[in-house]
Amino acid sequence: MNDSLRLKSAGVPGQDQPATGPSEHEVAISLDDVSLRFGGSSTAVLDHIDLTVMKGEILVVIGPSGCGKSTMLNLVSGTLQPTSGSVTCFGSPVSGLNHNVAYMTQKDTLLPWRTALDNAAMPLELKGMARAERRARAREILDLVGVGHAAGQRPHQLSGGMRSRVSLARALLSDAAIFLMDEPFSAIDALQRVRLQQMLVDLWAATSKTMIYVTHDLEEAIALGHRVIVMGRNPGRIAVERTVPVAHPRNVALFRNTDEAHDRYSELWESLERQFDS
Amino acid sequence: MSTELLTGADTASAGSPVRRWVRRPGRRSLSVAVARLLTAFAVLLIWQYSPQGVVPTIAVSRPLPIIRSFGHLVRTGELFSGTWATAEQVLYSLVLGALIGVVLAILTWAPIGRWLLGPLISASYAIPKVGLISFYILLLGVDTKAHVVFVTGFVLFAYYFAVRDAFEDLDRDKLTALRLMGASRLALFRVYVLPSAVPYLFTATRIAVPLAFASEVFAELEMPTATGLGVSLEQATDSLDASTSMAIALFIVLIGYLLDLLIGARLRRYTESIGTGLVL
Repeated sequence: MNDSLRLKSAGVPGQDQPATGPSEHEVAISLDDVSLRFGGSSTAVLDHIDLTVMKGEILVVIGPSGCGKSTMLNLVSGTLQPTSGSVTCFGSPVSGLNHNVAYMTQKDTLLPWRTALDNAAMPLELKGMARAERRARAREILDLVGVGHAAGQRPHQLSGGMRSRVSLARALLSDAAIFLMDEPFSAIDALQRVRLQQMLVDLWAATSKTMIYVTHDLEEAIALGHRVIVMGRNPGRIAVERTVPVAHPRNVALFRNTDEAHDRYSELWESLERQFDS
Repeated sequence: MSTELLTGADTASAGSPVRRWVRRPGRRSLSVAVARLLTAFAVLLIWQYSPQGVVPTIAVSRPLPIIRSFGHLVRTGELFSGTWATAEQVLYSLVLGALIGVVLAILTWAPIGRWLLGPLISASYAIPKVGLISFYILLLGVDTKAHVVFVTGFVLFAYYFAVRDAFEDLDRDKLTALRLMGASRLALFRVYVLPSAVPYLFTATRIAVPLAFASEVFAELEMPTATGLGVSLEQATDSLDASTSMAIALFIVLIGYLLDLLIGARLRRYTESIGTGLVL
């Protein structure tokens, strides 16, 4: 059984039909003329951003440090509010915390005194699910993401890759429709990173989650994204936007060496370099 | 076990070869122990046999009379009854102080609580508490209650500031992640805030226990009571019995040291179990 099918049978929340690509009609996230300034600063952290993310789309955001990539995720999660403009999620304005999203950052947010199993089961615990039931479901998802054998370990006993998998399991159990991922695999060694990227693609294929993925790695951006946006800084803005013309789910390791990937890489690299120079 | 499991983390798990190697009493730790014993023995020898003018024996006596006085205190049972009486007040004060300190920290976690209570608590901390002894006697009478309130006045601040620090050190990303999962304020408190404060509570207890012992002994010296280490100390001092005074004082030091070792070991075990403490 492939991962997509196993995810379905494990009851991971998502679409009933296998994912084919982003919805052409349903908008998941929309940023309309969004600007953000901190504490009366004259330079905008984000300046007149217009962005639409379709349901089931993997949008990858790349750009130099300080261009507002993470800030944009914070606006979508509702932990920050724009100075002007509006952010909507499935048509509703984001005015407080956006409970439609699960947030994964480079530094995992697992609780050190809890086992991997209890960390993964946290969203179910917060929903009031009975202990035995939530642990059974969490165990199933941990098995699925390849860390079932470490269910009883605490986070410090796991490698970075394993902690990322536990975080992913927790995000899956949170039933959030949108995954916000801020360089979640950047601190992980290259081989593990590719395996995690492939797992993410497989999860997307099984669940059709909408994902906004921030990275510094252009190869990763092209391998994962339906669409890649390059951001510029001073002020933070969308400089370039390109779709990746190969259907998902992709084989992440092999796709990197295709002509399509190389062409997109060269094109986006030039744009990215211009943003670093600016 | 997966090959992905960290070797660094393995050092934290009980029974790992690295940990067994580190914990095994080796030649080095044996020599350290011997060196410490020899140093202590040398100090005792100098103290015992130095000329009269060098050591003020009228105040600090000498080791052999101190050991004899200690033996007498043990044989008569005075040491045990006094220790129990003091420890009882210390225990009540610690429980009460911890409770008040934690509750105050929780109340001042919210901005409104901090605004209302923060200055009051800071001002209370600055009050010279020994100056309040007469106030406690007037208010509560010559009673052990006055002792408990006096000692609590010291230890509650250890808990208050420790728990405040715990709250200030909370990880914003973790708070956000849990809130995005739908955690209510109460749930957030239960699953994250309070467990985060556990190592801080251990540290506060480590500070509070010797502080409570010292202040209770002081209270027994200043506020009359029937039994206690402070009472025995005062009786010995009043009768210019330096060796008994020193025996009691050193016994208090020993209790403090042993409790510190005990709480420290428990704290270390806990922090190691969650991967935040030093393994070695």
